[in-house]
Amino acid sequence: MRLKYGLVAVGIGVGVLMGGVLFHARWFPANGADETPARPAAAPGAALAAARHFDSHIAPLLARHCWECHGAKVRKGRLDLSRKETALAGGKSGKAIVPANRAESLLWQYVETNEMPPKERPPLSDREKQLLREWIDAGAIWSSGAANPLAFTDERIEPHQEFLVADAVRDPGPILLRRLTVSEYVETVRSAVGVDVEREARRLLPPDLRADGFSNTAYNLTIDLGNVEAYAQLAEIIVGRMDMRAFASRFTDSQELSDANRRALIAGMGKWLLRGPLQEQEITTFLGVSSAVIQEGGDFTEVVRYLAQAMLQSPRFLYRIEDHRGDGRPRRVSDYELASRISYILWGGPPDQELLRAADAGELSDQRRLQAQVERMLRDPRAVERSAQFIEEWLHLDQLAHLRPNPKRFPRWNEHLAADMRAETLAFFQYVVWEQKRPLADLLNAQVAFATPRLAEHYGLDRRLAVAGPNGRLPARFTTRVTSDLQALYTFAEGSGDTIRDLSGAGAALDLKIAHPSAVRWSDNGLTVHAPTRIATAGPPRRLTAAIRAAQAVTLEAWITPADTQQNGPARLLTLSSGTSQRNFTLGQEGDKYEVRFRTRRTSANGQPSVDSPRRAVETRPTHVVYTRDAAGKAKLYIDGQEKGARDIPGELSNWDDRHLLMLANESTTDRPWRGVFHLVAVYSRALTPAEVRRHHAAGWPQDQGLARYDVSSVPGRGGLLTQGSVLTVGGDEASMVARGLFVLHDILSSKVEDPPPCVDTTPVPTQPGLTQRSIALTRLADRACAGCHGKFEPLAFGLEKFDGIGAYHDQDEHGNRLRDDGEILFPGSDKPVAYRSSAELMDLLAASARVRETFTLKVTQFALGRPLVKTDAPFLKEIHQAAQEGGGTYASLITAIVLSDLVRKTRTEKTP
Amino acid sequence: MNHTPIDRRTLLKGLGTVTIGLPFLEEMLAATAAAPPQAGVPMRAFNIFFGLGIPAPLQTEGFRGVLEPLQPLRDKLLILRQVDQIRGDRPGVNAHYDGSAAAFTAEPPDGTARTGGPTIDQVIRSAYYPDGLPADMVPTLIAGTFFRRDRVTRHSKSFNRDGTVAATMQETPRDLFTRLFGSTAQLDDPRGQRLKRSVLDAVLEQSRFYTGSNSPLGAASKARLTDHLDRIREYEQRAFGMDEEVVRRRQPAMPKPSLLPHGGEADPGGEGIDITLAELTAEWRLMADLYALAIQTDRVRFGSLTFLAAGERIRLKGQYEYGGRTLFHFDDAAQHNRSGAGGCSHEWWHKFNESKPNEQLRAHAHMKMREVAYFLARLDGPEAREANGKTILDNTLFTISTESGDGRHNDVKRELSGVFHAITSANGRFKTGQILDVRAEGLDVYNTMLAALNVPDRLGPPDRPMKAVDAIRA
Repeated sequence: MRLKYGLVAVGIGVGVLMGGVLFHARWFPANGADETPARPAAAPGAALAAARHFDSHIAPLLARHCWECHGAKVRKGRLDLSRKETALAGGKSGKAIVPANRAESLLWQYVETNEMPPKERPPLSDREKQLLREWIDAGAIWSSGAANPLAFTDERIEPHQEFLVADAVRDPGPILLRRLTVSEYVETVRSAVGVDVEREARRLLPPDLRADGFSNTAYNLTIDLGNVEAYAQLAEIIVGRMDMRAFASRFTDSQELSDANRRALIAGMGKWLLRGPLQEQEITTFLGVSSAVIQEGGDFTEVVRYLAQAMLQSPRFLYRIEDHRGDGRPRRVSDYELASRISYILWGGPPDQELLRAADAGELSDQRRLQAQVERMLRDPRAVERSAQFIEEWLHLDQLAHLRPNPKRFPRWNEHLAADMRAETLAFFQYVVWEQKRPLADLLNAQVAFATPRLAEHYGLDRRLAVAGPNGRLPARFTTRVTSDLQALYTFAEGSGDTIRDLSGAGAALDLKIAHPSAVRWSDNGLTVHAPTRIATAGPPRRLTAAIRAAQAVTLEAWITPADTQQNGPARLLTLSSGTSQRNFTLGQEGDKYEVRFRTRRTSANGQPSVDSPRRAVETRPTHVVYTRDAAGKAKLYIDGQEKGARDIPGELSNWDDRHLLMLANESTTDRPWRGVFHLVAVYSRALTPAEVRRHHAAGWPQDQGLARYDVSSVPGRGGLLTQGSVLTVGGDEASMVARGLFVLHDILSSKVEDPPPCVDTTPVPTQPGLTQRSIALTRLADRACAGCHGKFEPLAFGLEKFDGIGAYHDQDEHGNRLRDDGEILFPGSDKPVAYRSSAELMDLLAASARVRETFTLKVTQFALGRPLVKTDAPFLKEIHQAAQEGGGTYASLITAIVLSDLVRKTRTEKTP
Repeated sequence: MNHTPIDRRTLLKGLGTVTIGLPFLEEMLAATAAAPPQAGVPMRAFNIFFGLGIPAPLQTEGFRGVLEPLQPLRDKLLILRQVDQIRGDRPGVNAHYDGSAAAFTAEPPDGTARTGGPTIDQVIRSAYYPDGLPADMVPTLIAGTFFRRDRVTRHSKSFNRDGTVAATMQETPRDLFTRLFGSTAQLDDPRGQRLKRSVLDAVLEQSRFYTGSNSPLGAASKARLTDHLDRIREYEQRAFGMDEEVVRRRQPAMPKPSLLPHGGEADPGGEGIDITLAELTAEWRLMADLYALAIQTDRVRFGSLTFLAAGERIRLKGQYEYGGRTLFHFDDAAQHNRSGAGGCSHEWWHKFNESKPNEQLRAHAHMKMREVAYFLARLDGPEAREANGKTILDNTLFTISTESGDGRHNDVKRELSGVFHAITSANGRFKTGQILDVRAEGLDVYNTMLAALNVPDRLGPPDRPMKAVDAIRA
């Protein structure tokens, strides 16, 4: 049941989202320049002030001291103080509150004499008593008919002194400069200078610890010596991988070391790396670095290198610095500040050139243009990656890798199954949110699952439920693969014949012909090459060659199983060449390592120097091998999603020979055969990002091992986040209903419960024959002392009873007890439970719940802002939520509403002396 | 400080399995010994935390019970019973969170990684070193041997004025060693050094600008960046402040990698880890040795050390001996007949019952006291004697506490009442050699301590009148 609380928008946090709207605050100012605080329309001043007083002072007091025993759920003495009507009606002993008559108010009498709260609870302070007394004397004015305890007891939205100004102004919240998280640092470096330092950054930088559910919480992004040392080391690593001349050419055409040219260089570099124009004193500071280099006899390249080092360690690079000065009232952030805010929210990285251009032009103050930028940025793969970070953090997916269930009880558990569960949730999220663009609430009941064969077996999924892709050509699991700039794709799903079809759909198909069909064997798992043969295009693949040459970038991808670790030459896996010393590229196996030769104007015709994997990288098991080379000449070799080799391969591709054939398993001269199984081969005319490579690794290949998409509409129990192993494991070995129920209550419904009452044995009770988790829970719920709180969360987990501690589905537990999945759910804010007959019905109820939709708004907003939500956020949250729901409740609509809100477009200021 | 020469063999013996290069140690200790004599001993304050607490009824047994391992140090300690931390209660969370946050702050948590106020060590630090400590000192050292980590407040025990954690936790001997004695000295050619120096100068200049009077930042942000600036200065000292020859000679061997799980592996979803007593104490004692060495060599004057986190979950195994007696055989999982969280020692606290023997809980609590005493004793030997003839343990404020005076989570008042505390003399400012039933709020105890140290600031609400606990003062 949805309650209309009708609370004033100011200062009630989550409660606001429950639906009450006393005033309809304007959506965004028409010209984006309005600094006038929004005020309630036509609100009588005195009444509103009284209502605010109730919300700010009295409701929190009642919540803290009274509602535990005299609330909507537990009505001791038949007294419910959580609603105006019931509170004024009184209880068994009489009138608790008589407006303007303290002497007749039992509430006051008990509180004044410290008879209430009971002796095991602390009494009201003198200040609280005074507030209560004055409130009753003034007529005991309430702001609404009912109240959500959470709104007044949650630590984040209790009234704090600093929030009282919220009555007068729309306050965009606390300000604190934010250090880049490790992820943001990596993405910032990658976007700014094209260098990937993820591996080194994660090794050198202290990890960001979770605070209030997310690791990007600003207050906990502290700094220690380890950070400073790491930033210095990383700066050296980064500049060591940059092509300084190419980088500098973006900012100046000249390599002169004149003062004017250095200024121009510093201004350009600084604006790009530090995300906004430099001030004069900053230019002077960096000029000092360049002068020192010149004094030491350094050349232009060295000047650029040391300038980059200095900028990469600048506070302006490592932090998101904004101007907090002002008159103490909120103000609009500058266009450059807004550009950074938007890009870090949407991408977890810095503004790109287009966004900085828009900031230069002052376009971001214009709502329409700002919205267009947001729409553009949401089409970028970085937006997908950033949203994946949100889901990983919200559900704490990293934890899966560390779980260690009792091996005797759960022998099937291992790190691979844990990784499958993590990959499942990420693929599910991406599919529902980005591909199907469904409302976020659908994550609770979408009838689709992604599973590897291992996970499918664990879940008991019938493999026949794996479904094909929407176009009937690509297998379902390809829904998580990158399709842009795809030039050739072979999935070896033909099953017979001598032709391997190119499924890329990128112009004329580059089908491959098997020269000696007897040398190969088709299987459900791909194409096994057991004897030398050549598998090649009929003619030169000029379309592919031209696309790569134009982009100056490539990705060569292969899922293969080598027959042995000795074949060499290198033995050709994938090659675009004409003989043993003339090539555009070759991905090959050289004994126990992989080797890639890629020709440019600065390599030999043979494509050397090569990029090699470490020794012993080749194993006779399915392996994902990916080579990427970007337009800046950075080449990387990934094995199973991990970077295992890197090298600068500079130079243009204008000398590429467009007469070579594209071949598998051999050279055109047939003397470099490779034996093994091909599962998938793909060629792109761009360098996939590390995240995309990892995603492809998780996706696997069509025939077998990767994630397949399953239609689970006919599968009992499966469908939605809460039915996935990644979430079900929160219950521990015992599949605790308390732990699972609290997870749903806290993380899905954004609610909480109070401490257990005195003298209750809180020791968990183990299951045994005749005693299931449900029957243990029911015993608790039958106890009035427990039911008040446990009734709020344990029934939330009843529908999950059939899932064991690691998410497998059973009709009986280990003792042979029959398990059920029916129950009742009591949504926070409601006093009427809703029955459900199955897990699926529970998921449907949750997905349809306004509370769940509100939770998504709260969680995504918190992640976007990088801080816990506070009471003053309430009016903005309401507006964000409303706009997001009007936009369909999708991630895109929600994140857009957040970015367009005054929480992002405005900032609090501090008075300058 | 006129440091009495330290018996190197004693120190090295105490370092257990750590292999620290002898030239390095000689250098460190000689440098300390050669330091100019000072009029008095420096102000130092450290918080020592152990997880899960000691139920109040067991504290009444004094040294006959679980406090027995503290008996050898009884003359150096003032044990405080009946310290009330109810002020720290935060509805909806138990003492593993709120009691833990209240330890050394007397305030409830303000989030999972922030406390409602500063810890006493940081208040003292600010008062005695308002402009910061010298760049060659670690301003605040936070270290510990612990596993559960879903909330920072479970394990880190030094917090700034704004409630944020005061430093990064060092949780392995290697981390701690590197933080204390590592060097980032530049071994480049002179030209390379000069160029790097110019880069660092630019970084320093920018940092100074953003922390200076023309900074566009607000107060909280400026304070955060001031921390950054201090760390850059420390880095500068390490990178450029050491003689190259010294750096070349000073290449101490690092402690071996830890054999215990750390990071995410140490906390498998709150379900606890299996560990033997030997494994646990070997690493803890190494940490304790290194931390003690840091104090002895005056590398650190403020900070905190944790032995097992608040609400720690371990399934401990091993024979527990003390004073030549076998006191217990730890085997939590078997004794609970449960796996996962249900098989952890944590559950003995949930099952505490005054009318029962509680032998498992007693053994665990006794063992924790043994290990706390191990650390304290490292600073009470002849090698820790200072200019005034007293030991570092005598001259320093060590505050020892925990999260709870009960473990059942079913009575907030009882849970947060009677939270064990012990303090040292702080160079004669507090009584020692007694067990006091103070019957006071932790806030008043802490504020009395601050007053005794002539620290003007107080913890807690500014308008709350302080109720001095004079019984603790010498």
